[in-house]
Amino acid sequence: MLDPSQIIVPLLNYSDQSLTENKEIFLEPHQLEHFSVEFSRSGFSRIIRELRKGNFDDLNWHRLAQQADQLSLTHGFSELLCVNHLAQHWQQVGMIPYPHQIKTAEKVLKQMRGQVILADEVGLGKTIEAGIILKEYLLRGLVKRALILTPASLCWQWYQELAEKFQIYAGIQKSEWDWEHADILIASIDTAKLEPHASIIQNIAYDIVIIDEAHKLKNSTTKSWQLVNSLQKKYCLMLTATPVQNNLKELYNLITLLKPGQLGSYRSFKQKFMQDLRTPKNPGQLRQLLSEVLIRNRRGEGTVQFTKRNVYPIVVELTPPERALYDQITELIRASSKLTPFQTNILPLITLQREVCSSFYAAGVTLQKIYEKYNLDPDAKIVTLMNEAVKVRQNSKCDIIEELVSRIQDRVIIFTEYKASQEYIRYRLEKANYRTFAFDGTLSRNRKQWVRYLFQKEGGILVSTESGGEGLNFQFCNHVINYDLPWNPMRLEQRIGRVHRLGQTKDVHIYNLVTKDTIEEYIMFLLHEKINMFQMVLGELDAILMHLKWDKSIESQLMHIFLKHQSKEAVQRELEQLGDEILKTREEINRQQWNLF
Amino acid sequence: MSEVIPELVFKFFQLCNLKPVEIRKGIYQVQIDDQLAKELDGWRAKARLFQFTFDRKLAQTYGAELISPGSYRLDTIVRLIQKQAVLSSGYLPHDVFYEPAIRRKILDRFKIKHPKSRFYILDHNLRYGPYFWITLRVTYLAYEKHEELRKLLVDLVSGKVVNYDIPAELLKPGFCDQKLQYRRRLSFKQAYQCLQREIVHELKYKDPAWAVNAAQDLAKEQARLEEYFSDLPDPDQRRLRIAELMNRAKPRVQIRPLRAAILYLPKLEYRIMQVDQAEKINRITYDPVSNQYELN
Repeated sequence: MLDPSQIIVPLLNYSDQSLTENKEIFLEPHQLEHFSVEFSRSGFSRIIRELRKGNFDDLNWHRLAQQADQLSLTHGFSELLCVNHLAQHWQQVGMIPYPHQIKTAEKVLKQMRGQVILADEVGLGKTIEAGIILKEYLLRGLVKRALILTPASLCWQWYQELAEKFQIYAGIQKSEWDWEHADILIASIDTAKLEPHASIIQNIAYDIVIIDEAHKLKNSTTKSWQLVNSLQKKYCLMLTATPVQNNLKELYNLITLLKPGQLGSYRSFKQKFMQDLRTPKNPGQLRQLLSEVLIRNRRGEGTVQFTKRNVYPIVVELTPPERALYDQITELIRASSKLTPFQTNILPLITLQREVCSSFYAAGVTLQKIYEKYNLDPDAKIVTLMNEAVKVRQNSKCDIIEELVSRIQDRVIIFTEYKASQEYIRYRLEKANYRTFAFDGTLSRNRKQWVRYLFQKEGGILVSTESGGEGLNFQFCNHVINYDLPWNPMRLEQRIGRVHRLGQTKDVHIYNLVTKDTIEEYIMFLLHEKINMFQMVLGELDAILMHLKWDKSIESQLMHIFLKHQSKEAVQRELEQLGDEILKTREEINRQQWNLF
Repeated sequence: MSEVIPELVFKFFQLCNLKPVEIRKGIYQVQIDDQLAKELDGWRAKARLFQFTFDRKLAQTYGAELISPGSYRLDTIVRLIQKQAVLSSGYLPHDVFYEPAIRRKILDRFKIKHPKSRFYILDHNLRYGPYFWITLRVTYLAYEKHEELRKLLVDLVSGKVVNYDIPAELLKPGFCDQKLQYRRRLSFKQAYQCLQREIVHELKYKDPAWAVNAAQDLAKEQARLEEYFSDLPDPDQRRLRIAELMNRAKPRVQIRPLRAAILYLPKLEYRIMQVDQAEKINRITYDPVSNQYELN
């Protein structure tokens, strides 16, 4: 494990010979019938330079160098060099590449010729696969210049993974100057797409471009897509766990970005392979074409044995003052949904309803915002509720958390959706003499790494918002408490995926706090009891949600059900239907093998 | 395990004036100074006692660094060695050849050719011919990459390219006596051109199966791209993508000179008297390395 305090950043990688020196110049090629022959001018000039200087080295060194030259020759991709090259290092850092990762790297190098979408399910180690491929290309001298485009929050993680596991010391892009001067550069795709950066990198010929979270390039009208499309690249690796999110056009855009022409023109693709936007035609043929450019390893296919996942729903009973406040806010939401200005936009209501399930502190912030935004009367119900919220001194969920933490006696990650809740949880735990770390989207990436490092080294409790944890891995921890439940099951899966992934050696324990007789209980019923989400194969859920032909998000769907019905039975009935729909889709997917990868 | 690697490593330390000590069977130890440490592991590395082994099991058991094919340590050593000796010089001393045997061989050849004549050697003279000995890396590139090492000699007097197997251990460093040297007639640039001509000629008659297969794959990919762009009139994108494809898949052979040496190889000049009805003096130059002679 790298100690971030020991690292001086940014670590730009400048090879012994600078890029300009590295650039080899060839003489005019000799064209033969089937191939051309190019003689290096720079190699010869190097010798001539030494001649002019009269620098004659010892002939013994010459003989030895010839032997070394012989040893360093490349003979196809018959076996991976990096496995041997890094064997000892991997032993030191405790990394063992899984067979599916080695197999994937070999396939990419031998058959797919360095153009591939690595679409393994979450937690199977796409980054490791990309690292092996990159290292292999570097060792064989096929890549000298590499660009890794990732969401900003993942730059550091990429840096660490490459350095720690592959001894590839990349630079993290900080300024315009870096683009042209670093051999291997990690950069935020959101920075890269902006001027003047975009113009600079379009003029650089990269040997390899690696794009993490490539599903963000599904739309060909976005700047990110256009940037990647305009890059000069010999090899390209795209990493995503969800190559298809909504429709087949997105898949087409992604594949075309990687390998234009692989699926033909969009017109021909539509004719040949699309029944409608979401239903493929000729799936067999399409699968064949996709298999030439896409690799998807799934869990349970002889890939990796993951540790067990134990889920504990913990029902929290609200105290009478909490219950009263919850009911009042819920009532306000119901009433507001029937009135303007909320009528047109359900989003603020969803937020408020989610917050009230999380904590009154989180809900209070939103209530205040609504009050200020709509310039409401000081006598309005909202103001009363805000005052009520301040008076509620107890928080049942936090009481439970304190108890849980005292029982676990190990590292724990507590996830919440809201910063206000995060602060409150920390306040409570610190008061109870627990060491806590805050982890949220406001932290800089260096700070996040530092916090992660401290958490790993010193233990304690990490209280994280979702945006804070995105893309960062905590395999060294195996207890997760969901203080509140995200309404979108994918987000819940992402949370769990932070700890339940490759490298996790212990069984993972997930504690879901569910407030009794609130919308959280319904969600828990839907996810846990009805669709048994926690036992689904990872990645299955995203396929289902994508396939469901809903015209609104799952959050809106839930909110509508909740607002439509007063009685618990009616809500439950609708949720049953929703769950049935999800399960039906799951069966349909399995039956039709719509799942193309 | 191949013997090549230990040999290379020990020779490397020897040339660095270091002598590894075998501290346990199969485990070696050597004191590396600051400078070598930095050369091997970068500017932050410091002098240290370096323990290494060529055996994976021993490496695991005793924590010595493993030097094996593809290992990090071998890679750093190989890279450091490769940086050395871009240019060297040497000569093959004439005394590695037994002159009386050469003399007899030449006379025998003359006698076979002209059985009715008598031959005797008037005198002989030792000279050294200049050669440009280039080590080339030949890379066969398409989707895959294969490499081979070629060591070729260019005669800097005649421009002939020869593929002698120079017995490297017999070569002596430095230059031979200047008075004995033939005068170089070719510039080094001309020598490189001779080499290019020779290699191109050789490749022309080599089995092109690898390139034919690669060209077929390339044609398929190109057709796919062209079909895609036929519906999408974007010449810049088309150009870019075609260029990428060519860069990635076009079959080509790249030849890089890695290092060179100026070698002086012995040549023996003989004046041979041929006696039959008349007397005639033949002047021949014998090249003992290739076992060929030239009648002047």
